[in-house]
Amino acid sequence: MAKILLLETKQGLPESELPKDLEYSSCIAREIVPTLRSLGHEVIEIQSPSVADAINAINTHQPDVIWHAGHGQKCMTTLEHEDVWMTHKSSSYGECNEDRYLEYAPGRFFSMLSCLAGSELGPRLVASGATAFMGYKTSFWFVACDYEPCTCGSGLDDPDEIRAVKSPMQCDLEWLCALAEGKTVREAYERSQAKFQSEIEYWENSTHPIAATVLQCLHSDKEAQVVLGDMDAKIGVSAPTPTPPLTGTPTGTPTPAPATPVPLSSVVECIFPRILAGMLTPRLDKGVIFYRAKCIIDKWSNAFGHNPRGQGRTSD
Amino acid sequence: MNEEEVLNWIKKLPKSELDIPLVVIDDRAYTPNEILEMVRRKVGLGRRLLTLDVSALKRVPAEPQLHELAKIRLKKKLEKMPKKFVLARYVLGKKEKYSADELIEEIERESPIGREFIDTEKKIVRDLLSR
Repeated sequence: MAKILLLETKQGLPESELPKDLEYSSCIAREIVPTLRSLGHEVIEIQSPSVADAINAINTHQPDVIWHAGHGQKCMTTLEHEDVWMTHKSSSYGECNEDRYLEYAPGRFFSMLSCLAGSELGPRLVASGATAFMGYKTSFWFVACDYEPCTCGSGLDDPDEIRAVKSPMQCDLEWLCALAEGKTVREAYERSQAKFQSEIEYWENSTHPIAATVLQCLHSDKEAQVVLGDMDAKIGVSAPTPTPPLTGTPTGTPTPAPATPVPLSSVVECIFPRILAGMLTPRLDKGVIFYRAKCIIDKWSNAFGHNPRGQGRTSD
Repeated sequence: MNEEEVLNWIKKLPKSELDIPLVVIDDRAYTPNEILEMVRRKVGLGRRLLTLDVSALKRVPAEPQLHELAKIRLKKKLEKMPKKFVLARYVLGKKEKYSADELIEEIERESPIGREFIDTEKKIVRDLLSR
């Protein structure tokens, strides 16, 4: 089991030209919370977090994974009301005149839905000890509504328009979903890229007037996505069940690969070790009571990538 | 090429692309549906197309033409965008929200945002022509 902190921001600038701009992402993050919890992870949600709220949550809960959406620059990311959070000293942006909060990087997985931060801040977080970072090296584009906040498609009737609003964010959050299922950082990146591709294919075959615009976002975001750090690292997983689709909206998402079944030969090997391996009395040899039962349970756990210690992240 | 070959080529393209300029011939950009129509009619350029191999339709234009094609395509796409929608991004200290008209203007004057869109569009064109 891992601890996942979702910093659910709502709005960048208080007088933002796009009301509830960050809520477009946070509402999708909220939609996946039940899935993350069903996989056995502890999910901590902080609404409209200031930097003080975020630091307090990190100190209190010691999360393994942190996801947030916030306005960004190459060397900086922000939280609610553009409260400046993590920065590293850089000449690329005027306000990046010091390293801030990089001491919270070691051992953590970061998913940063923040424009440009993948180009400088991400590499710097990994250099500061973050296990992995996923973000965007250029702008992250999405479709929004001009007339009223349409986060998660609220206020829209057309299923394709709802999908248009949600699509890029769902592709982003696929990385977190895959990690939560026990995939490695690399596999999770591949899942997220595959989700971008499946959405691209959906919109390519649509004649909806919004299709071309969504395609522009998806192509650009797919290209901008970067993943850094230990590509073989995983977060702790306690349940082998595959993740259900992100939302009720039909997405054409490839379903996660089913967990590898335990081969029958492995079970036979546990029950008849002496015949198959020429061992005499494994129970006595290994000092394990109920050897056969434990052998089967271990093989089952290995087949599903389950961490028998049931806690913390693994890096293998 | 003949009509059947053009139809086979069109089948490999996304539906959303059929009325957006993609093929450059003699410094003019044509949509896949326009190419099909010309080959069907067998007049003017259509007659010439009949003498060419279908691979001529998949040729990636030279850079200056590709650049112009990307701009034409973007304008065409953005003009179709329903007015209630905007494009937005999570960037600090810069404009966050763009209407279709504003984006067309950025593309026209090739601002950094405009160039970002043009570069993405060039990749889309290369991908489509490789199918």
